[in-house]
Amino acid sequence: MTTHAETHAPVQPVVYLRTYGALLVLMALTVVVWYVPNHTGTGHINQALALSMAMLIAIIKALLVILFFMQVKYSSKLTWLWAGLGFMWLLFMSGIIMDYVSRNFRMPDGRPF
Amino acid sequence: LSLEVAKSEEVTEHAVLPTDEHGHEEHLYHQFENRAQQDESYVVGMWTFLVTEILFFGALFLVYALFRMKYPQVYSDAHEHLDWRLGALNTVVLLTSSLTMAMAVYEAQIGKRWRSIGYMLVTMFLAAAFLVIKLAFEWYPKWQHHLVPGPSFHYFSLTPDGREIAPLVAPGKAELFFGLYFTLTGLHGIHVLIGILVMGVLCILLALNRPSVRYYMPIELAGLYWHFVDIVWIFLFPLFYLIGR
Repeated sequence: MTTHAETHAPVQPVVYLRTYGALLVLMALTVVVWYVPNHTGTGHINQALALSMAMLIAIIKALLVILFFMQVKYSSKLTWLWAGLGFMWLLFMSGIIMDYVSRNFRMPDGRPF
Repeated sequence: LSLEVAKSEEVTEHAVLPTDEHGHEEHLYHQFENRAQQDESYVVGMWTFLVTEILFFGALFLVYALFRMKYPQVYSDAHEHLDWRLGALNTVVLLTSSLTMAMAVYEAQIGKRWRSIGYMLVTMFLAAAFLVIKLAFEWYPKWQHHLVPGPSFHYFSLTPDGREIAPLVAPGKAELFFGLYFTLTGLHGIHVLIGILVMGVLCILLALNRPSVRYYMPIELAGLYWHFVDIVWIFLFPLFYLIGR
């Protein structure tokens, strides 16, 4: 990352190949953590935990794509800011949605929250 | 996992900068101090567009999340109709196309025009393969089984070994799941199609050696778009195909 606009030298193919390898491994991992508890009959897994694991792997994959394939790792701070901005807005938007979800929340004794 | 990249690998060659007959840099517009500044504004401009795309898809992902919280059983039952093997195959196809697109950008950056075209043609082929798998092997059978939301929608549940049984969940709620499935994968598919068109135009311009593509930036920006399409699928795959029982 540079502090101001500088042309960076081309990212070498080996970086792309490693990123690709890591993405394939992560894809296999996300299938395995889903397949084993659901299709082999080896114990059940908490659904919230399963979803969190799948989403964590997806976020790592997205970060790999953004940092290396999209070359944000080698880009200026302004690019970092812009690349992060979309996800910030997405976070705000999910905060707004949480308002709607929280309307159904109940106290332990069943009274409205 | 190879998250870290040795610094030495990053820098060996320099991007090819085209010059005109007077030795001046081509395509450096007068409002920019230097090429780096111009490149940065191209990239930031593209990211600005991608921010709107993140919110566009993001809103639909939030609708998905909202109804999944509300009807977890429906999602679990309806997702049995999706074949995870086809989803996984399409994930591999798209990840590979991202690699070939990154290579197309690299070749354009070091001035290898025809190699860049070659990699882009491979990317376009993989993108087309993605659409064929999606439409012919996933959408069309669902159409035949009346699983497309609308007047002819007719829901049935599937057992783990693939037998059709009476619906275990409310068909109306399952229709919602398929509505989201077709909307999200459909919009994503349209993005794939647009990607193919953009790459096709770039290939033609590169083959004709047009001045507009003599500097690698247009290919880089198409690459950013293509990787974004890949990211959307990275989330779609586990959210639709890998739902637990």
